[in-house]
Amino acid sequence: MSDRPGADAPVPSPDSELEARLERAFGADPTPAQLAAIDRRVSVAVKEVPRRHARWVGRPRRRWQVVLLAAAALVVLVGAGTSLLSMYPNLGGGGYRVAWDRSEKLGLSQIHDGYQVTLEAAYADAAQTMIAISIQDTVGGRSSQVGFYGGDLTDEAGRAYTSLSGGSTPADSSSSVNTVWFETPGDGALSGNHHFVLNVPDIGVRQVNPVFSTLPDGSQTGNPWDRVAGPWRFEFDLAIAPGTVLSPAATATANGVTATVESVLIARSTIRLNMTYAGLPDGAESWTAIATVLHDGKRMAVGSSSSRLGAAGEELTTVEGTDNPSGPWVVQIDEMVGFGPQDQIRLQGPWQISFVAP
Amino acid sequence: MVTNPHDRDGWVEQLDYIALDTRRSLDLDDDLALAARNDIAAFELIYTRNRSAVYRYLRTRTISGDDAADLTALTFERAFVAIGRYRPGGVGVRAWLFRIARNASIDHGRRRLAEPPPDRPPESNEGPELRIVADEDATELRQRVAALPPDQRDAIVLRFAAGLTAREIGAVLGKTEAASQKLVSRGLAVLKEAYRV
Repeated sequence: MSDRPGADAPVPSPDSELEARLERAFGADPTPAQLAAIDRRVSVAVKEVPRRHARWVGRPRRRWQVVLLAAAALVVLVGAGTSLLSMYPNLGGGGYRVAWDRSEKLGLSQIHDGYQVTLEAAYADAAQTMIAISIQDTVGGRSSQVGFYGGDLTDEAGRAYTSLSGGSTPADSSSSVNTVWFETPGDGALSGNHHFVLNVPDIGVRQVNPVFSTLPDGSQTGNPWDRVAGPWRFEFDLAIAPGTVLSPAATATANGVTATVESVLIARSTIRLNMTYAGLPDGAESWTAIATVLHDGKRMAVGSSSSRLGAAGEELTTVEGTDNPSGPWVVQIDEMVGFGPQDQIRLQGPWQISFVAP
Repeated sequence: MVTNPHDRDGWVEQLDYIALDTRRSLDLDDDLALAARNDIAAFELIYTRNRSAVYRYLRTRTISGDDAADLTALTFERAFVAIGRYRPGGVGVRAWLFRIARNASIDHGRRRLAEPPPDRPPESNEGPELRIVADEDATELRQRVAALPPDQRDAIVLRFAAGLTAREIGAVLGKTEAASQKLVSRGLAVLKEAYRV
């Protein structure tokens, strides 16, 4: 995409073969689950900021098509395979490993058009819910990879679980193991036994020989993933492990900036902190903290942050949680980073915010 | 959900919307950026045109595909917040986006440094997209690129993972176009020497 034709001098090409190898070596595509997670976050972000005359153009979900396809599809219940199941324990550590080890092993499978989708396991605590889904092409030879686009998870009260992120790992060209995280609704208050419905409207199938297209500006782009419609629908019961919700309103001040832990949700698989910042300098439109959480002799890293756009605050999420919320807690912020249109603003800490859980 | 550019219906829908509402050429990044200030569909087009390239670039700077996806989303979240202050007439939206992406990855690296050491060796979950290209040649090439001096490595990755021009690479790295050309050339020369090609 060259915005000013002729303005850019081409990069010298001493070895076109080497360049082609470099392009192949760095030509990684996001998986369907990753692509869906990116799409979802960006879609949510643009909806949070009101714009004059703004309109989000997205493909409407054609539920009527899904219903028709569901009526026409042959649904076969089959037993779950065990080879893919053995891959799950090694997909990650921290909160994921806690979720997997304590998950309910379900082994529910359905086949549509030769694609077998298996709900291997599910886990839920007051902060988040994880499902493990295996996909296998029982026909074979139709793809270079298969992956999970995500699904709609609801419980018996009709509560929708918002998907947060997902990951996909292929076992081979026709099968993969996938994990998807959802936010458990109820702001930490939900626990106990619940009945769930997981609807998987479609899955991703990567073309054997991807075809790339040309955009109006002449640049090449491509999405080698096709959607294969289901739906695959699963019903299951699952207990949500309780969490602890606190509103410590604990603060620390450094560099003229006061950081406050407004509220915290402590769960087995993660800690979620609602932070606000006061006294931040002008020039940045959003801020994030480089932070860690200390409790019970453990140092828990912050894995992600979710900025509230236009506001001086964010939600920090750790990569693991705890079974033992009682006792002293410290949120240590080493640095605050502000993001302007071109540059960053960095404020050195530390801010050490302490509170005690009963 | 953001429209897939290869969804024929969605693509046509986007093109029609931009053409009717902005009356500007689709070929000009700056026009799109100006439109995106008040038109989410224009931002969506910037997003769909650059999403894969941003991911590929960030994939070279992260341990896992999930991290790269997280940072890709973060890049566009920040870009949307800041699009109103984008200044046309410079190097273009793409260089601006990759500068945001690079800063996001730098912060991600700082977060990683703040993490406790793992209890066990890293998992072999490289992610599916990496395995697709994980032949021996690609792996060796990535290792050799990783061993280049930081500026050369950045320039090579921005050129071959993201497809940026020398001018855009210069804007991302804070260097002149000529300097970025030299970085790419020197990096290629080192790699060429390593392979004796």
